[in-house]
Amino acid sequence: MNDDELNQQIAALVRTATTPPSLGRWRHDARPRPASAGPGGFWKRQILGPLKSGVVAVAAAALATATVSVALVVRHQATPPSSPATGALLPATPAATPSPVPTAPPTAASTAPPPRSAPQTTALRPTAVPSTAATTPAPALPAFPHAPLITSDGHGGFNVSGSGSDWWHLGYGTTGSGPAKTYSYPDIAATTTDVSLPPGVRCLSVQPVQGGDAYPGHPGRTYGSWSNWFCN
Amino acid sequence: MHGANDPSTSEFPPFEEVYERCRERVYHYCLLQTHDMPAAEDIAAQTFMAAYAAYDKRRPDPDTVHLWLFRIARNLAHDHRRKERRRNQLLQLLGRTPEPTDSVERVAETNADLDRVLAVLAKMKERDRRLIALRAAGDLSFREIGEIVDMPEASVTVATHRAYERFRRLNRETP
Repeated sequence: MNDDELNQQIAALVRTATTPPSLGRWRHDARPRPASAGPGGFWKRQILGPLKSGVVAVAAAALATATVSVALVVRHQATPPSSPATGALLPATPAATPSPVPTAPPTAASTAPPPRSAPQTTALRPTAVPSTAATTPAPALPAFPHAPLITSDGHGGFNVSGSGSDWWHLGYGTTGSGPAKTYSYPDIAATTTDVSLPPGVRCLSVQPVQGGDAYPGHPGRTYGSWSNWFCN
Repeated sequence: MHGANDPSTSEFPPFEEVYERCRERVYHYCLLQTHDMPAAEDIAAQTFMAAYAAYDKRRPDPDTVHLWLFRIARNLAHDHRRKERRRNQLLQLLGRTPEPTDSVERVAETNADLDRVLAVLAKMKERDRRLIALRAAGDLSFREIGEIVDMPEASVTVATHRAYERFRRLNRETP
């Protein structure tokens, strides 16, 4: 067998036998947008703008099949902290009833990505900087280009883009066990960014929040401890 | 391959098109490089994420955008191997064996022949594996491979031939 034949054989094997199921989930959101917007145009307008406030609030709510209501509040900063945030990331705990789900316009549903293992809805809204929070209306469209994947065992994740080539995986699950990394990748639709952070951001910390939505001051919310800082 | 297009004078495809066109080749390249399905999926996703982040600014030539993607994937796969090596060294120092991933089982379920190919590639040096992966999964010419790995075309031709020679030998030695 010469080089070309061997090459063809390897090529045929790898092409026909290994396309993973997750490739389908990498498909980009089919949300229509003008070509002139270029990549990221939608997200730049709808997400990056509101996020200029400097604080990101992420509600990963209504994990319907697992009846888990968790809000992850993600804080970020531009320079590495001198000391880590106190506390550890708390595991999610079951809630009696699913939290109200931020509404998504019908168009989002009609252009949703391919079916996933569990229905879920996620919302992201700006919070906490008083001067801008008071004047900046909540985005009318769902914060994520598409809902994060949650696998049948309750694990999932999404992608947060920093500046340049820096980015983070944020994994979550119905329990605090299991390799979140393994489960978070399918959600990273290769042509979308779930959350874009302002330039210069290097570090993230995550706080679990139960109850309510992602807006500050909501009554009846329970806050967990901030995680340690994760810096790129 | 690094030429930028003037959007006013040439067709600049949306990233979605590039993704659809290249995703499988990039994934297959990553699989041959890492012989680990979850890692390959991660690296392929990272590749497109990095490309997506830079696409607007860089505006790569549509005809050679795949070479740009393979170059990103090559760097990410290299980083992955380096981290794996460090991790395994640490585990050895601690007297532990690395935990096996499920990728071997998953591959075996899919195709025993492919499992064998990946097992043989795993024994090869990184450069040999990279050349074979770019040639087989990337379906690239020697000239294109040379652009990605920064080698003259003639050197790539010779090096790839030698890589295949070593592949055959290792394949014979593998029970």
